[in-house]
Amino acid sequence: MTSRRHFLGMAGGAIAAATVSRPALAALPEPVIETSASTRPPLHPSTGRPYNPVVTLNGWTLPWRMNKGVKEFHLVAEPVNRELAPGMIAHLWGYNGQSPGPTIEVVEGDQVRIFVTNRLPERTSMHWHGQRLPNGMDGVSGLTQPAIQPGKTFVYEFVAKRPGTFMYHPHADEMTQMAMGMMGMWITHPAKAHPHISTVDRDFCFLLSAYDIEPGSALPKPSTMTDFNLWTWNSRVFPGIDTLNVRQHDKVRIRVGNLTMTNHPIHMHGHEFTITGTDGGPIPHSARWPEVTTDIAVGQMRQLEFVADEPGDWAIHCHKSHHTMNAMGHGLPNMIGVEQGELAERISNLIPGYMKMGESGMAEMGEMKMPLPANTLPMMTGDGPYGSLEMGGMFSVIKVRRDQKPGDYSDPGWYTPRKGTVAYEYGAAPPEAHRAEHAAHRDASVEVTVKKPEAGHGH
Amino acid sequence: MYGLAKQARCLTLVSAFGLMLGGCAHLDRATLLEHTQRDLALSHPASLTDTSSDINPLLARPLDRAAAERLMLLHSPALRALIRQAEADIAQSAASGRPANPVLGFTRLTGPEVEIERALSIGLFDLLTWPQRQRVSTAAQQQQQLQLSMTLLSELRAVRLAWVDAVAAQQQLSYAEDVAESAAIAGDLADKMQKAGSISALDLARQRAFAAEAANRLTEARLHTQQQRERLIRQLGLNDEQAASLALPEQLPDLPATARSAEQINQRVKEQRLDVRLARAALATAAAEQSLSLPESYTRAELTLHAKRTGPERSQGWELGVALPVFDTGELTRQGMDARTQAAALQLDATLRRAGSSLRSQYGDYLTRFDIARRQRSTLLPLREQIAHENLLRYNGMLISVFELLDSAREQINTVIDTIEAERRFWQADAALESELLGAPTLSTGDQP
Repeated sequence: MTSRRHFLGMAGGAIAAATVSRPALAALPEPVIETSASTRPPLHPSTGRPYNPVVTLNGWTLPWRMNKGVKEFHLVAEPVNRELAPGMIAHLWGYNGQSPGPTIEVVEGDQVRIFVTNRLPERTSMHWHGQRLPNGMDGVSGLTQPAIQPGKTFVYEFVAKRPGTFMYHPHADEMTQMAMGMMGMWITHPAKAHPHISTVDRDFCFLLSAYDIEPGSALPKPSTMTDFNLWTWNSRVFPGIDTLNVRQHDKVRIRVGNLTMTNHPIHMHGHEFTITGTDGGPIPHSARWPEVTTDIAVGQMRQLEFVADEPGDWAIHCHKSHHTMNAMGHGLPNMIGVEQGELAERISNLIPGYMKMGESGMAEMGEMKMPLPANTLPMMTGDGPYGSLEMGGMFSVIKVRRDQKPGDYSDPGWYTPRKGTVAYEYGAAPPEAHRAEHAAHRDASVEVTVKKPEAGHGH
Repeated sequence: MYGLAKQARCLTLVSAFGLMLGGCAHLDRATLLEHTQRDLALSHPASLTDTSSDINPLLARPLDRAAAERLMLLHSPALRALIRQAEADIAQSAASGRPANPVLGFTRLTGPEVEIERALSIGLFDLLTWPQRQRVSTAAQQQQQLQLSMTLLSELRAVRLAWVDAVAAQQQLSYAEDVAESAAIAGDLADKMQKAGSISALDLARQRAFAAEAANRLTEARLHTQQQRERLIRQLGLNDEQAASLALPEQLPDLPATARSAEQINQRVKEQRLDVRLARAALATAAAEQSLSLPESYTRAELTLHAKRTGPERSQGWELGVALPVFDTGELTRQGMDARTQAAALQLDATLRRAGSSLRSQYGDYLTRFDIARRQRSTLLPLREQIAHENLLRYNGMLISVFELLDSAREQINTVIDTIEAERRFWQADAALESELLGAPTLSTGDQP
């Protein structure tokens, strides 16, 4: 639900009124606040030059106003409650009601003015990651500008010179503020046809971010370096990440930026893609190669492009398997093959409600759906048409459908495959496998006898 | 004959008079028990004077605290011995209040003539100081009766403490078994993990060592429970058969909703305390003895009536013997008695002064034990339960291992054990305060043997 709320009418508005001068106040565009975490349809430009808008996964594009030829946006940095997936709300910092903030879409050559209001309890700033701009607009507090104090509004103004995929994020108390979810996408569309930028039918974008939220709590721990337990796309985790729904034969672009503390090999099923651009700009055709996984390093952006010609439900995910899991314990012993038998009963007598787990692997965790700490997502979860999906974190599905209408981004439901195209169980008992003779004796351990040197054995 | 008959009549009168006086001054058994019972403020009136010695109904059910007191008072041979001993002491004191019996002398001599002489002697000063003797005797008996009350109060406190400790130990034991079981499970699980190859030799050894330690602690706990039970059995004075059938309640009583208020405590009049009354009785005895010793110390007089027949001749007369205070003027005895009386007076003063502080100290202990026990039960215990529950949820989410879950369960059980311990200490403080209110000297309420 996108709502235009008058800034002065919001809680905390008194601070803004007291600290923002009257002429500046009169010049401020009304901030637009988003209250939902669902994917908004593309925002087609009604003013300014035309372009082909993107779809922000579980996000939205910030509306602007034209002021004497200048595109004006208003970003409000503020604490937000972001639903990471149904069943879990994270207390984050973000922009205009959500984390990440809204996507800013402009056209190459646009004069852009962005008002940044700080409604956080501490100072902030805004860095326009990857942009060509005057040094004083780069947003590094202390280096290129004073920090934006709580209650203050700063104005950034520059020309969007280079077409491409960018990000924005704070450069003041950066570790804390990014660990709290402050970031957003910036798309500069080409002003005219560009030899290295293709026109696509569907253009998706999202940011990778990671949080360490103690199970049962809601606020991320900003000083975590490596032990993050929630790996998100646009501050959502599976099964809260929307699917990428496309029409068969669509040319599809997916723009991914990494603001986590580690690399993410993003892997797509069913199709090959090429990387057509980075945050450094479009890549010449001669420098592209096909692949099915691309590693996105920290602070990098990648544009994946492919033609969705294979109908079906195709998984897309980070290939680090811990990143397709939600919160889990890292110090758990491996209980595979540990038959608990009557021990389980003894534990139950002591701890009513105990269930043995892990004896044959961890998949039962996805199925058992046992009560968890409040505001905590299962480590692996999700139901597909054929059973438990046993996933979490950075996982979604590209849904390619013959009958998905152009401009329709709604979820078409599970794929119905053609008869005879789904893996099936073999009806008869499998034949006895031929084993090599020595394999049968594997259990008989080979005894290694070490002969100790004996004293007095003349050399 | 006439003379002797007159003497005999006189003797009879004296004896009757003596018996009457003596009868009045002796604290008999029923009165002794009645007074003692009143001193102890026993809630079950029949207990000391109850003659029906059937204790089977008391042993038929789990023995609560009141029943334990009753059982001891009714049945314990050691306790009955204390009462009998007090009776004996009192009887002796009563006897010492009476004058020495008159002595009848009869002499028959044969010679030229048969000579028969009869003499009746009586201690003159015994008769003259009879009222003082009675006062000494009465004071001593009163003191002995109060001493008995004091001793029984100590016994009552001892049985209350023993009961509280025995019940608490038994209650804690079942939880100690759970603690050991959780450690044993962890050890067994580690063994299974070793077969699967998922535990290091180091961790396996740690788990086994932990289980063995827990087993040792359980063995200790079992011994402790047995020792506490036997202590109670001794205090109750049960024989082997009765001891075998003794059942205790499964748990200590619930904490009272509110602690006894300071007003309730202060209402008790210091003068009514047993220790004060005992000190006062000791002073009265000393004073009475002093007044008696004054004449007795230097003077003794004896009157003897004589009747003599030598052949046909009869003669009669009397004889008065008086001890002369030549060597012992009684000075030293008087000084000693004087000092003894002053010592008793000072002792009374000291007891009065100690009583207030002792009561405040005991009440402070009682209030603190109440606060700790209540916080333990109404705050800590629910929190530990919540922690255990949250850990179960975490285990469900594969956030913690089964070992951590067992640790958490053990922590929770240990809090239950600590809670029982806190309640045990409260009920000990309560028993001690109860004795203190009646005026028993304060003893440490800490761990009793």
